[in-house]
Amino acid sequence: MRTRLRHCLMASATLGTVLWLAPALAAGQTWTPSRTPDGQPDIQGIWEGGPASNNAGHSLEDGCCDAEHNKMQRRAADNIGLRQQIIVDPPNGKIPFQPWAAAKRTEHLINLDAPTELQHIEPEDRCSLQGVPRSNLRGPIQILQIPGHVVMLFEWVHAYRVIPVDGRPHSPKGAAMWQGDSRGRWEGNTLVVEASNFRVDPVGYNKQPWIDSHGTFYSDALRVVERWTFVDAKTIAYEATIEDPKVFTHPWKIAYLIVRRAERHFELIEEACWEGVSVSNRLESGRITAKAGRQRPHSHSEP
Amino acid sequence: MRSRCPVLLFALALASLIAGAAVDARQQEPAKPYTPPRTPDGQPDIQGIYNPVGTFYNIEDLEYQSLYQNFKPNPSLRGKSLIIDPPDGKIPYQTWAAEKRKPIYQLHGDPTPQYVDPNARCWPQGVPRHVNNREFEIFQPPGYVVIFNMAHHTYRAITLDGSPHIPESVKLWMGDSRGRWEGNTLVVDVTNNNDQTWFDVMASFHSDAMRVTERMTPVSADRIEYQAVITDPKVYTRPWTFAIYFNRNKDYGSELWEEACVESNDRNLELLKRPGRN
Repeated sequence: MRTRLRHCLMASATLGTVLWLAPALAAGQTWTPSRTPDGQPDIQGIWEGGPASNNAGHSLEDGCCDAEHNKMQRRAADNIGLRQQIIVDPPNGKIPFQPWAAAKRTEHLINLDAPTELQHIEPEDRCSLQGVPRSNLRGPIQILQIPGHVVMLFEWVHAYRVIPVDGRPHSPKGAAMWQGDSRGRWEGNTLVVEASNFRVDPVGYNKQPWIDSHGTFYSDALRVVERWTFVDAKTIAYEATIEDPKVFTHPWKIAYLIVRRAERHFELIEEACWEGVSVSNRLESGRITAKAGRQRPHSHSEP
Repeated sequence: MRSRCPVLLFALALASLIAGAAVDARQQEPAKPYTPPRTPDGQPDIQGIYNPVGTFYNIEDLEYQSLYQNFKPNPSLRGKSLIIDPPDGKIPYQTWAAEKRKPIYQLHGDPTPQYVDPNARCWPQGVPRHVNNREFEIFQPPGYVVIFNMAHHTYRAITLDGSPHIPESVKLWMGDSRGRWEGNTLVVDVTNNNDQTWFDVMASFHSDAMRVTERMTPVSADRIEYQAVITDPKVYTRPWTFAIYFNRNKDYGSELWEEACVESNDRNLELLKRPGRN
């Protein structure tokens, strides 16, 4: 019963997304942005994932968090779960892991809940680079353009992404990177970016970005195709198709709106993630939990 | 006669002035200033990938930099410094600061945890160290000069819109940079620095009162001269000036790739876990 209700809610959420996006997308066909000197649509400015994408960086399937977590982090008490289904394909909103990968992910969730080794602390909490598409789900993004390039600056971990839009080929296969290797092109008002060449941890653990905090990992076969559709001066309809035939049964897709930060004089200020990194307390509590045999996969519902 | 004399004198004076000017012009001829092309918003265009020509090991003494190339020191560079002011090439520490630095300097090759070089922990490198450590790329979108570092994959966005600095209480690893073009020289005022970064591997430190005034001047299509005046009344007896230059990387099709310092970061922890260490 509970499951059916959940599916029903998700289906409504998906329908809601489609209905919400439809007028925006239609408007996008008529919006005429000004042009940069090399003829790109001028989309410069500061942007951030809209309210619907709140919490999606924590879990694309379930969002974040529980009441206890919110109290601890001084977040609004009702800021729980997702406001909108972020995974739009498959329709059930779940990541289509292959069976072995689902088991690996459960292992990640157990270790996430009660970490006993440094490597159990997830990549975001270690302040490593976030990769694609996760970089777009954490804080503001400043987009800048020079001829032949779209550049993105992120506040989180002070990282950046340079997207050539001049038709050059991908970097050679051996040059794997945390942020991947991005190549873009303009299709009307849509910036299409193909990102590949992602680094994976050679020992198969988490010295590589995850796609969310809930252990969504990938292999060296990951390829992400992003579509940034600039529907009007204030709105981007963002989509990312994620394919990795070694980990997922088929490609899957996320979609949400990114909106322009309208505040006057809004500026990115450094977010020095490193300053607060201290894992010893977490490891200590994780070891106590493990010793007591109370390990369980991390989840937002009470055991 | 009386009436002609002043004319003659004037003519003589004029002739000597012209001759003098001609001599001056001949002397100055080799220093023909380079005029860079302009970006669409009218900035001198200095975009591209550059290699800093300096030393990231010891800015006060270049002898050991070559260890990184061929494992041998270069005695011919002994005592040569990147610091052009004061004339002795040394950072003018106040007495207490020189004392504080001494043990860290001595242990830099074999540090205890509190003395590990902040760069070895992969933290943002700060100004000016981030332009003195391997390749970086300069982009100039309208109203900005943005520097992307290969090392540590961080950036610095220098705003050119005349906006004020952020409030003094906010302290940042990469500081707060506001710039302007003075002719072909980019002048950047860097404030809001925290006290966590060094200038090189040798424990050269500063406080959060540090202010850096940078001048970047393209002197040819392939070279930028860089000077930074460092002011920090809490740590130094006087401002000092650090000077290096950047050479353009002219390899065909070169592109800046990620240098994910964090990948081997845990190795540092292992190194520190030796017996007898605390």
